[in-house]
Parts: sequence; structure tokens; C-alpha cells
Amino acid sequence: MTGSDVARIVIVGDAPVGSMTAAALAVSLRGSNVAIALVCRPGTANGQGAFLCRGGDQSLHSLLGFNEDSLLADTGAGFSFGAAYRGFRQDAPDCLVPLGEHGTTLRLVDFHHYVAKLRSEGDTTPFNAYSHAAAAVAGGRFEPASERAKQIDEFDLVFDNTRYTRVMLEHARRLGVTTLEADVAAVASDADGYIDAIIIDSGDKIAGDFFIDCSVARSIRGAMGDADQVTDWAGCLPGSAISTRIIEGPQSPALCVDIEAQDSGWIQALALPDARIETFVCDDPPVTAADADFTRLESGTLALHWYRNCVAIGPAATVVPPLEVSPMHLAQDGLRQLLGLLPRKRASAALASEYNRIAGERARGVRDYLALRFALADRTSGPFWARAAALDMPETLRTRVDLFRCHGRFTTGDQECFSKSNWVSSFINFEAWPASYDPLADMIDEQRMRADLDRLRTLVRKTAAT
Amino acid sequence: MTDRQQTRAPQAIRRVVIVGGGTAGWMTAAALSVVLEKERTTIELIESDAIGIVGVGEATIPAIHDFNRKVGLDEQAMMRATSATFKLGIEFVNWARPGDAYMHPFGHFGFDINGVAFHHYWLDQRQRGDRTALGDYSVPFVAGKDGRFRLPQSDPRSVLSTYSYAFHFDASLYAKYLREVTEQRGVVRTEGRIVDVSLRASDGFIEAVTLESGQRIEGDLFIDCSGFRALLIGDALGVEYESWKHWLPCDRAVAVPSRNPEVLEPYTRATAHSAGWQWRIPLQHRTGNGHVYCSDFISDDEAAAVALEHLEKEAIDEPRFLKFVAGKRQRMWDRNCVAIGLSGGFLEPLESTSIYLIQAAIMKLIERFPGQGFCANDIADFNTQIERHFCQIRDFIILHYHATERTDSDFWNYCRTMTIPDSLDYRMQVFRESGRVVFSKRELFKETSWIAVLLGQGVIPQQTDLRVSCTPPDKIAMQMRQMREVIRMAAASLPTHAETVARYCAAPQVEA
Repeated sequence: MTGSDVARIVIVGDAPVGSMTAAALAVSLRGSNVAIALVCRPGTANGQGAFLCRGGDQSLHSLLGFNEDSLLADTGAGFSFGAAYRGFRQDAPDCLVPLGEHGTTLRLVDFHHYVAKLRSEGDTTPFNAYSHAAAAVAGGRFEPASERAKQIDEFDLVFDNTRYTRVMLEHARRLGVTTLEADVAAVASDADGYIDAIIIDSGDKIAGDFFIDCSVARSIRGAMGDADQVTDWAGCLPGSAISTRIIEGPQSPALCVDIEAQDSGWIQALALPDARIETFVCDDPPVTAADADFTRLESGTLALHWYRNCVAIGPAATVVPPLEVSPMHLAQDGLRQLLGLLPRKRASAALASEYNRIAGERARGVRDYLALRFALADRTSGPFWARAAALDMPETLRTRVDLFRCHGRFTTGDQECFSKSNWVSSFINFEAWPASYDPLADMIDEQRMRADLDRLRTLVRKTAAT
Repeated sequence: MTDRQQTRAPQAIRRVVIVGGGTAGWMTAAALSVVLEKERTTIELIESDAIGIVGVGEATIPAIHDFNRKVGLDEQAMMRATSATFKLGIEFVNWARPGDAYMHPFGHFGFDINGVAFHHYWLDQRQRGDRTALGDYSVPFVAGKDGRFRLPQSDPRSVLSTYSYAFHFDASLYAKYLREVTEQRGVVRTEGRIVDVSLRASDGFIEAVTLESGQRIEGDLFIDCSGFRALLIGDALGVEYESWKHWLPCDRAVAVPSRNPEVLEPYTRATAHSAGWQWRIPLQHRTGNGHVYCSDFISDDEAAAVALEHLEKEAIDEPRFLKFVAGKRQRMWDRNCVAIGLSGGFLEPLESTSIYLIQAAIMKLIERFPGQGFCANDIADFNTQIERHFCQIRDFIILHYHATERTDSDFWNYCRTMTIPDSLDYRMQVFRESGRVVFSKRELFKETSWIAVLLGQGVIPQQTDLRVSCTPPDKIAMQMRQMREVIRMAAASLPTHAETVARYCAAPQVEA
């Protein structure tokens, strides 16, 4: 049986991520004989809320041929160009970590070295004066067809759960995906432990050859018994409880994610045109069954994202505090990798190994990117922050921090969700300046360098005014 | 890490001393002369005319364009000065089995269809009985085999934009050309043989080198380009050399130049023999040949005889022997010394990577250029990145030896059955089972290169991408027919390689 062909793919997930996954698979496999079924957890298609995901030419939506402009129009999505952090640092101003590039490489030397050099000479121009994304946030408005839009190479989109789900479900159904709402009660497996079917709460069986679990509850992987071994990240990412609050009413577009530290945790706010969605992450009060507002946040990643004939993506694979990233971010990133590695046979050990290698490395990169924020936060007020300060830094992050702190250097890994510019922007906007900068930045004529930087700043300012 | 520290200006390295001329030394000098301000940092290169240079690599890969551009070299002037020709790839003869041939071309195979790499469709059609060669879908292969070449077009819609190129050149002339360019930029060349290296008592950093004449040359940063002798990194600093002979057993080469054949072919040829392989590199004024072999399986005399027997035209010089061991230093950067070139490591020139490895080390040195403080984290990062480069290229080269059906000699029986690095074993296994190429975005050889050599060496996948089934096979067959036709016609429209060389970069008459 394990050698048989994949003719049916079954996806189980909460509606926004599940419907996107189904639509992505249906687009990718259009014309083939592979049947796709989507099983959504009841109630999730109409669940209120919002999420962030990557937009632009390189986004999953674009790669799959979705017209992003229509998607934006159909769903009323907004833009986000970075994250504003408030109260993360003691006695320091709030900071914005914008997406995208700052300035440009000059004479083989990364741009931030020149800013560090000027700073060592007493210049106080903020790093973000060289960021088009930061200028967009500061300006408070953004026109997708403007000159500024052409300069911005990276941005996120903020989608409403329900509207996004509706568009994706319609798209998936149009391409032949069968959908139903049900909870998974069990799985039926063959003698080798490969899944033959999932059994839903009505007792019906939905047979498949390959299964994708993108559910928050890890519905399939949990039912596979030994398949849900998790590498626990509680030791490096603070926060064990999470709750979401929706504040109805018209909102002015924020153009960035707002993240505010409180003594007991932090709140991230996303603005939709008609509601504000606040996610609160904390350790205290301890989560009890009686406290219905909170759910447990167990940061970690599956030891094997792809196990036998079931691959976990997004929230089923990796859980992190939703700081600048969302389960949708992670799901779309996982799907991008998976679409190139879809199996023909139920048993495809090599593809599973390769997917697990890639997905594992990417997940650790996300963990480190988030852990960096807590490592750089020096807020002392409140027990949450005392615990955060005592956390261990993962070794991979420690190496990166040490490298950056010395001469502002950064090495990009093979598999990364976040770019070098994202990392450098995080370090510098949290004021983790390097002890020194690239000595080659001193080799360029100082006047010329200052003129180049002036020109770049002016360009950002002028573009912002258009 | 809660301090918001002050950033201080780095204390500049004042004197860079490059020990050894040759390709590595002059490439390093040329690149550093672009990024270092001579009022702040001087560059001094010490070489001895009495010591010959190995002149690594007469064949290059397209990555060299990046180096030449960063260093500000004019391509035509460089080609004229080095008697260069163009290179569209490497043809491997007798590697998978005697009588077999394939090419690793510098360009894509076919076009992706619906976002799926072309080779999946080629494999699928092959299972259905199609017998067209993968090379038929490659402009550099078709044009190269027909002796044709023109610079690629920049319009991405043209099929003539789907390839890149590199150079065959005389490496000694390349070093000489770089020396001329570099000396004009203020790099000081000092003639002399080094007899002593003094280390600072406090930390073992190199303080100075002393020449036979008694002249003492001090420096802050030393670049060891002394070749296999490894005067600084090996002799003075004692950094061990890690041998990879168990994976790459060839340890000798015998080089012999010959007259050019009638047709100037725009590609390197690597022909496998019973205990090694022979390169053939066409330059404007001569053809470079060399037999790389393993001394455990063949004597020097026999190896030279094999080399001479396989020349296309008569030899124009005596055979010259070289000895080497594949491997690398445990650290390429130790204290204030960076080993660049053969002092840092050696991989046989099967994929023309010697000059690239020099280039990669130089570029990484520029990215991690030190101040007087010599940050340990920067040095560790440099060593990690360079080691990774070496290992990835090592794996790619081992693949040629290991994935073979040859059973006709003890040498090939050893290579075919040897234990290979886990990293390569994994790549081969994933490709064999799924047709997917495991590669890192930052490695030199990208997906197309691995596909060319994996398929060329007979590693045939059991599966193709599931998405291949989205398009009816007869429609794919038609598209592939069109691709072949477009490529054939485009290649046929190109001038011959000899015509392009004559027009673009004819070298002044050089004595052969």
C-alpha cells in the first residue's frame, strides 16, 4: 500500500489556513487527477479575527497566480510595513522595526556600517531615515500605485479571517476541492502506520493517500499516536497563555503592527477597517480550564514536520508567540516548500527528509528572530520581563548576536524566513549597535559618503511626500 | 545584552602583506587595492622570480565575471592579455561508462513549465520512450558542440539569454595582467625569498617576515599565497592540513601543452582514463592538457604516456609533473594570517574551481575585513563559510567519481565502492528517489549544475514532480519539440567561436 500513488489529498485545518492551503494545492495541481478534500473545524469559517501574511510579488498569493489587488479589494485587507514596539526597553523611546531595506550597499560595504560610522562621530540621524517603509508608516498613508510603493520591496498584509476564508473557499471549490466542516475523531492506518483515512465525529471516513494537517489542534498528528513529538521552545520564548479581543468600530489604518509591552506580557494590535484585533500574550495568571478567555501557548515545533504520509504545516507544525508572525505566515512559508516536494507515492521518505530538513531550519530561524526581540528588550518592570530576561538564548542566535555585536556583521543561513535586512533592522532599531563597524567603511572618501547618505535620505523624504 | 553601547571607529589595519605572487597573490592584491584606501592601508606583495608558480586553473567558471567586475577589469583587455577563449561548459567523456559523454553546460536545460523544473518533464517523457538527450535542450551544449559562440543576449525573452560563459586562459598571464593593473594602483611588489617568519611573543600573531637579503617586512595582516608550501599558515602557525585523499584519491598531474586543433571548441573536456582523467583546454595560442591521476594505481611514466597518447595534436613542450593532496587547512584564517589559494586547500580542477575558491576567499575576507582588534567572531564566521564552500565543491567533484558504472580498473572499482561524505550521500539519495536537487542558495553549483552531473553520471530518479501530471504528455512532447527546434536554430545562427575570439579579443601573436 505504501507504494501506491497519491490520488487523494486530504487537508484538515481551521478555516483561514485550511482554505488557503486547499486553494494553493488546487491551483498547483490543476489539470491532474489528484482529488483534494478539505475538512475544516466547525465554526472556524466565520470566526472573527485577523492575521498578518506576506504580500507583494514574491508572496505565495502572487506565485500561485492570485491577483493580489483583487484579493485586497475583495477582502478589504490593509498593509503593514513593520512593527512598532512600545515599552520593550527601559528608559528608551519606542521603536519601529520596518520591513525592507535601509539604504543600499556602497562599495561592497553594507549600508548600516556607514550609519554606525556616522553615529560614532556624533551624528544622530535615525536609521529609519533611510527606510521607505518607515517613511510610509510615519506618513500614515499608502497608495499601492504611488512612487513610494515602487520603492518598498517588502510588506505584510492584514486580512480579516472571515472575508479571506470566503474568498479562498470559493476559489478552492471552483477548482474542484470538496469541503466539509467536521472534527477529526480518529485516523485509520495500515499495518505500516500510514494513514488510510481520517474518521470524523459523525463516524464517516474520509479516505486519502496524503494528508496535510494545518490545524491548531494538530488533529491528525495527535491521532497518529507517536507522531506529535514536539521540540519545546518554552526555554527561549516567553509567554504561555494567549487571548484575543476584538474591538468593533471604524479604525484608522495603522500601516504597522502595534506591539505594547505590559508588566504581565505584551499586546499586539492589528487594525482592520472596522475592528481592532488585540492579541495578549502572558504567563500570569496561570491558565486554568475555568478561564475561558485564555488558551495555552506552547511554543515549539514538531520534531518531524512530515511523518509517514502526513505533513504538518503552519500552526500544526510550529507554535510561536504571534509577534510579527502569524500561523498564516508559517503556513504559507511551509506551503511554498511543500508545493515543490509534493509526493507521487504514499511513502516518499526522501521527500519527507528533505522537507523536514528545510522546514526545521526555517522554523528555528523564526524562533531565533522572535527570541532576539526578548533578548534585546531590557524592560525591568513586571514579572513577565524578569522571566524573559532569564531565558536562554539558542546557540544559533547567540552566534548571530555575537557576530553582530562585534563589527555589525551578519551571515544569512540557507533557509530563512527573514532576510538580512530584517535582522539588521531589528538589531539597530532596538539600539543594539555593534561595538565597531566595518573598517572598509572608513576607506571611502568621507565627503562622498556623506553626500551619498544625504541623497538617500532625501530620496526617502521626497518619495514620502508624493 | 541590555547595554546600548557606543560604536567606536575601528582601528585600521595599516599594512597588508601578501606572501607569494601567482594567481592567488595577484588576485588578492587586485581586489584589496579596490577596497583599501592606500593612504590608510598599504598593500605589499612579496614574490620571488626564482620560485615558479603552479598557475592554477586555466579554465574558469562564470562566477569569475563577478570578480572581474568588482576589481574593475576590462574583459576584452584581459582576454587579449591572457590569450583567452570562451567556455560554455565542461564535457565529461568516459565518466559514467567507457564511450559515454555528457556536458555540464553554463545554462539552463529547457524551460520550466508551470513552475516545475524542466528535467522532470524530460524524465517523464523518457519513461514514455522519448530518447532525446538532455543536452538537446541546452543552448550552450548545442552551440558548444558545433564550435559556435557569441556573448549571451540581455533580453530575457531571447533563448540566447539562457546561458552564461567563462574563460579558458593562461593563468600565468592572468597573474601577470593582474600585476600590471594592480601595480598601477599603488601595490608595492617586493622581490625576494622569505627565510624567516617572526611571531609576536604575546599572542603568536605574525609580526614580520624576513627575506634572504635580510630585509624585514612587518605587517598587521598577512595573506598566505605561498601555494603548497604554506609558509605562514602551515610552517609558521602550524595549522594542520586535513587530507581528503580517501574521497579524492588523485594526487598527481602531468601537464603538457599541444598545438591547437582545427576547430576552436568553446568548452573544456575532461576525459576519464583508467586511473584518473585528462583535461583539454583550448587557448588562442595552444591547447592545455593534463592528466590527473592517482599514483597508487599508475606510475608517472605510464601517466605521461597516457597523456601524450590522448593529445589531439603534437606536444609543444616537455611534460611537467605536479604533486598534491586534496584537502584543506583546518582553519583558513588563523590569528592575523589568511590562507588564500593552494596554501588553504586544494581540489582537483575537474570542475575548474581553483580560481573560484581563491575568489570566494578574497570576497569573504573583504566582507569580514578586520581592524587591529581581529574579532574572533568574524574569524570564526569566515572559517565556517569557507569550509562550507570547500565541502560543497568537494562533494560535487566526488559525485563524478563515485556515480559511475565503470568496473574496468582498480581505480574505478575503488571510487565506485568508496564511502562518500554523508552530505553527498543524502543529495544522491534524494535525487534518486524524487528527482529533487538538494542545494543551498548560497552554494556555487546551483540546481542546473547538479542536474547535469547527476543525470550525466547515470543517477536516474525513480519519481518526478507530481505536478508534471497536470499537463497532458502529448502537449509536453510538443512543447519539448518546439524547445529543441528553437534552440537548434538559435545555436546555428551564432558565429563560430574562432570568429568571435578573432573579433572580440584576439591576442597579439604569442610564441606557442
